[in-house]
This record gives sequence, structure tokens and C-alpha cells, in this order.
Amino acid sequence: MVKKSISLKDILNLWVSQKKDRNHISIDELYDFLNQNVSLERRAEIMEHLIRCSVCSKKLKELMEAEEKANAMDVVFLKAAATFKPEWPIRVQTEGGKYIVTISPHEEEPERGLITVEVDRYWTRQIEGRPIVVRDGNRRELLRGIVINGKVAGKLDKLSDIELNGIIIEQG
Amino acid sequence: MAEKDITKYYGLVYYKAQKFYRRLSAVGIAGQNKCIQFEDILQEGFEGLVKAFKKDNISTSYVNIRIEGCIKDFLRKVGSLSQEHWKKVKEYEKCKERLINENLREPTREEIAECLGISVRQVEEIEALLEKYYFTMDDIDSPIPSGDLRPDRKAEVRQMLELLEKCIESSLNEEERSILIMSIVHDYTLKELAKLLNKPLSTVAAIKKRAQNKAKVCLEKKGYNISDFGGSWNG
Repeated sequence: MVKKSISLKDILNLWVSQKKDRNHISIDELYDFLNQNVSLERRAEIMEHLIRCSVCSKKLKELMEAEEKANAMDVVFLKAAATFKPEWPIRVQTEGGKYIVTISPHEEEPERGLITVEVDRYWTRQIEGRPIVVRDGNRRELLRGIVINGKVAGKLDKLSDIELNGIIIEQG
Repeated sequence: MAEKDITKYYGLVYYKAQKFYRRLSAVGIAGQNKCIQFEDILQEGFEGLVKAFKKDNISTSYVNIRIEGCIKDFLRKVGSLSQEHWKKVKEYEKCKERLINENLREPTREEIAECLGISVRQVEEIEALLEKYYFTMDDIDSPIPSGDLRPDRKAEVRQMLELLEKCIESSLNEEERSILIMSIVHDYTLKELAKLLNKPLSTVAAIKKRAQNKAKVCLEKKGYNISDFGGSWNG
């Protein structure tokens, strides 16, 4: 008997296309699923749906990729930004607690200074050795560097122009 | 609430910001040298998350609403879409979704007009708005090859499906099936599957290998030769 030659990928594609499940899962539940925040029973149901649904499995894959990119990320939102007047030096912890950002002005030239980003001990293992970029609320790049020994530092100028509300630290 | 809890949602913020950015870039509103940059959207998303975290006992769905709300508010400010227009767009989307679910096909403008209780001309106006501000978040579709088979392959497909039922559903357990399909059909890496299933990478790799072999043996018994894990069968 002559055997027909086919690929496993095509066979599985065909199976999935015939077993399609159109009751899509919300992005909220997919996110909870990814973060192990659903019951075991529901988890099995979602997994069963995912193998049959390219729409949801694609969404979940994108979510996983986004999580990976957001791993080193954190933000600073200072309260009542409109009325907030910074008192230098500024030392503030990011919302997620991953970093402490310190901006210290030069003693003789107050428009110039130093920015230091320290990684919280809890996050050091995940962030050490990664490049990070710090941008202020107006998207001005304040610092770019690789985290070494839990720290990155750099020089700054035009300190009074810095928008402290909405600082984002992300992977560079 | 523990401070570090908020970081669990950073991935969601990034995902949402990316979605909006891609949509806006596709219609030429965002991108390099445009008034809206990815970082702008990301910042708004984070602001939404921080606002959501001011409440106790929040759910992912609430966080999602706040993130999206903040991004949309920002886009409304920088764009020219008024609250009234937004309302129209949302009603249009709801109606369209309902009609698709009812009829299992794209509704006509006349059907949408009837559903919304407005004229076809007004539907066209909304569609023009949508073309510019294409914000629907749930219409990502990635078709799986199916239904495009040549007529002379239909009998072969039917036969094949019978075999598949046996080989995929009986010879593989749930875990093997999930890993095999997620990796081969949906292109998940072993690392992603390991995270998803909370298992070591080596275990996932071993399960995949075992599942491949089981499927291969089963199909070969039925008279098929597995050529490779890629290629095209649809003809």
C-alpha cells in the first residue's frame, strides 16, 4: 500500500479549523488566565478553547509578549501635578516599587544635575543587566543606560523643564 | 493593597497601548513624526492603571476599563472626535456585533441603519468616522486555513477528519494535545508554553516530542506518512 505523505502541521490546522470555538474569551479573563487568577476548572476550559481558537490564542500570545516587554517598566505619577513644585533634590519611588529615582541639582548650577535610578532589591534579579530608558511626562529622555549593580546614573540639564508627572522607565 | 500588585497589570497596559498605537498608525494618526507617539498612549494607559488602583478590591475588568478610558480620553483630546461621535461609534459597533452574531455574516448598511434607527446616509457617516478612528478592540482575526480546499479533496478531507478524531482525540491526552496544537498551529514557543502551563521548559519539550511521536505512529497506522511539521496540504 502506498502511503500518502502529509505534514503534521496541516493535519492539526485542519483539526482546529473543524473544531473552531467562536465563544471568545474576554481580554480580562485571558489576562487573569495568564496570571493564574482563574479556578482550575475554568483554566482547563480556557485551555481547551485556546487550542481551538486562533483569535484568542493570538491575543494571549500578544499579552505574553507585552508582559515580557513591560517587565522592566515602571512609572512615576506625582500627585496634583499642576500645582506641584519640586523641591530639589527629588527622591521618589515608582508606582510599582521597582525603582527609586533621584534627581539632584548641581550645587553651583541649579539647572544642571544628576539623575540616578536604583532598582528595588525585589526586582534586581529580573532587571539587572537590562538597558533602561527614563523619559519624563513630556517624553524627554532623561537617562539611558544598562542596570549594573542595581543602578544607572547620568547627567541632566534644564532641570526646571522636567515634567515629573508621568515619568516612564522602560526597557531600552 | 501591596504596592507591587500594580505591576501585575503593566503587561495589560503595554498590550492596550500597542493595540491603540497599531490601529492609529494604520490610519496615519500615530507613528514617527506624528502628533501621537507610542509613549504618549503608554503614559495615558499607566495613568488609567494608577487611577484604578486608588480603589479597593479591583478586578481585571475594572482595570481594563480605566486603562482604555484614559487612553480614549487622551485620544479624544488630541483628535477631533467628540463625545457625541464616540457614542455613535459605540452604538454602531454594538449593533454590528449583534447582527453578525444573529446572521453569521457581515451586515449590510441597510440592516445596520434599521438596527440603529437611523438613515443609511448616517451609517455611512459613522463608517467614515470609523475609518479614521479605528478603535474597536475585539476584531482581531487571524484566519486558520480551512474551507479553501479544492473540490477533489473534499472526500479526502472527510476521510482525514475521521482519522484525526481518533489520532488527536484518543491517542493524545489533554496536555499533549494542548502543547502540540499550541506550538504547531498557534506558533507558541516552548518557553511561552512553559510559562502558560507552569511547567519546566524541559518537561514541555518532552511532552511535545512524545505527542508528535504518538500522532505520527497513529497516522502511519492509518496509511499516512508524516512528511514534516510544516509544508502545505491545502493544495
